[in-house]
Amino acid sequence: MEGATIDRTVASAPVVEMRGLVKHFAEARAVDGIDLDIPAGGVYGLLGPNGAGKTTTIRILAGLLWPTRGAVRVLGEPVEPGARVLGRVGCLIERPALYPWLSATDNLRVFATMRGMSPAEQARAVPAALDRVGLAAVARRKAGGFSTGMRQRLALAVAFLGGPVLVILDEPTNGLDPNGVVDVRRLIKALAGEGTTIILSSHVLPEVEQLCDRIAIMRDGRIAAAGPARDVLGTGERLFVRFDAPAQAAAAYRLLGERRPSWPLERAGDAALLVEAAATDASGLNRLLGEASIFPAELGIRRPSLEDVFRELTLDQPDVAAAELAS
Amino acid sequence: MKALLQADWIRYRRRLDLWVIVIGMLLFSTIGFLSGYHRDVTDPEQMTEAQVRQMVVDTSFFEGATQEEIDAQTEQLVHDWLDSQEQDRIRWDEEQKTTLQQYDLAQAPLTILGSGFGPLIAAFLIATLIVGDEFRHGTIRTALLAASHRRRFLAARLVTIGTITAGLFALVIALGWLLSLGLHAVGAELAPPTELVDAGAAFGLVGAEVLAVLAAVGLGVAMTVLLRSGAFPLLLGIVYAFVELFLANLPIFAPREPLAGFQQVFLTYEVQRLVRTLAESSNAIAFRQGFGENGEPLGLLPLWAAAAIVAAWLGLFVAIADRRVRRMDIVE
Repeated sequence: MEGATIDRTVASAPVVEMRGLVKHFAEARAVDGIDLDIPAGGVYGLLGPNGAGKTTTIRILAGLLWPTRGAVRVLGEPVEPGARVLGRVGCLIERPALYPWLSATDNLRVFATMRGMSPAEQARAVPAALDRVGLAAVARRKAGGFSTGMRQRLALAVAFLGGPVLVILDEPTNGLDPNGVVDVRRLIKALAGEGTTIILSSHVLPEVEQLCDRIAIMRDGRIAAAGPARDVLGTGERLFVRFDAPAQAAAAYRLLGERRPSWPLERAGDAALLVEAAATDASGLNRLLGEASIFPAELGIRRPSLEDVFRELTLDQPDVAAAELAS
Repeated sequence: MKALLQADWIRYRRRLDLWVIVIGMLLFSTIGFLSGYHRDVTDPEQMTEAQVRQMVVDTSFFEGATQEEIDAQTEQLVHDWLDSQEQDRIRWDEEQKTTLQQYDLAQAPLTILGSGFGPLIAAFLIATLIVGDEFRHGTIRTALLAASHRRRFLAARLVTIGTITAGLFALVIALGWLLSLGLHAVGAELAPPTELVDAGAAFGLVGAEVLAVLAAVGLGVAMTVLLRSGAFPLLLGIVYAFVELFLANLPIFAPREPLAGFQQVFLTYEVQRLVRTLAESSNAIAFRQGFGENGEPLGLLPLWAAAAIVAAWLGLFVAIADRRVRRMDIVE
């Protein structure tokens, strides 16, 4: 449980439950004790620097790796390689996995057949899936001749085929052009809106920020932070107050120091302050300053970006630190 | 299971490499059959009397002999040579009455099966191709997820490969008949059938060949999932067969040695014995000739035990593959 944060704000039963999850590869501890619940519906972001254990966690969740210790449940059923519930999970992990000698349609038909879809169901679902990822025009072309982006789209269609309850996506916009990225993000949003639970692992932080309702940030094989995105991002939320003159800022600094010692203060240039208070305290702060005839020119909420939170939580991990030095 | 087999049908019916292997095997079997016929139908070259005389004159040395003695001895040598050549021709013609029966309708399917290791090599290649594909393209991830049940996934693969193997045998047998019909159609020289094929033993022979090929398939599948590659097993399969054959001939396994007969548990040894014994019982001429007179196996165990040993090897390979597939971490 050390280093792990369990998200217990979930009203309904979680789709995924991980308890004490550990995975060792020889001497390396890829995953080192994860406890995490992922609620039904929405997009759950899984973040972390390289080597944080994201892909290993995802692979355990997809029944591709045996955990060294701990348990994973999907829809209440224990997940291990070969578990029946895995038939209701779609995934795109790392590079697209396709049969290059088959057409886009036949690639989908192979997986649809394995999932037990009838020919009638396939006749509806396969063209619809291809249409949804923008490959309807090349349905008969062999996947081996596809560009990286087209293969990525086809792999997404495989992952979403047959309406799985849970879809695991590892870097789904890799190799896509900007239009493709926008289309895939739209697709993810649409599917989440239809009730599919999506776990999204990505290095593109704005993408995660834009798509995910909840996030977990991994570091050294553990969960460093987890919960609704706004809560995780809310950590370190501050009020920014700008004045017309530095004297006003100095007066406000003194006033707040005396009257609200529980709000740590920081100067932000000559005529502005950063107040460590919640967004809900903004009106109280404004009133307090007004009563002292100090009128701010601007009062706003400063939330850290996901990038800020990510860097704060992971910066001392070797990969991130190295990347930082290189940049 | 049915769904997995249907998926395999979609997956492999358009796999070009698979068809190349099948067509290649049929081509090599055809070449083996026809070149065998050409060898068996072509009479050995006969030297004329003049050629023999010239050869005798060129190669003989008559020291201190008179011309009359030289002429007499030369005549004797030429006569002996021609006589020996005639005896060889008569023996050859006699043998042809048997050997050419290999290409008649009754013997042709067994002949084409015995003309090489075509189906065995093809089945081994197909096994490593089909299972190796999943690792090579990373589709093992999505396929296992879609199939969900790993043992069923492997079972479907084995059924698919087994079906293809059975199909290969059917194709080779049909090819044997077709080629024999072709020889009849073009009026090729064939001997009247006197060596009657025993249907039961011939069925057993084909069964033994299928069992041997399935054991090779099991070995291929087990090695592919162990090594997560379709390429290495091809090399290791050949090494395995040679190592077994080498070990089986070691003096420590000779009669009256402490380990006498131990080689009977070896796969290749028992496959040979099983096939050879059944080939003789079925009057399969090609198999009989292929094994020759020497190298008689010890044959301490009954035939059913030989089949059981081969089946046990197959079971072992499948068990290894099964355990590996169920327990392995998929990192592709």
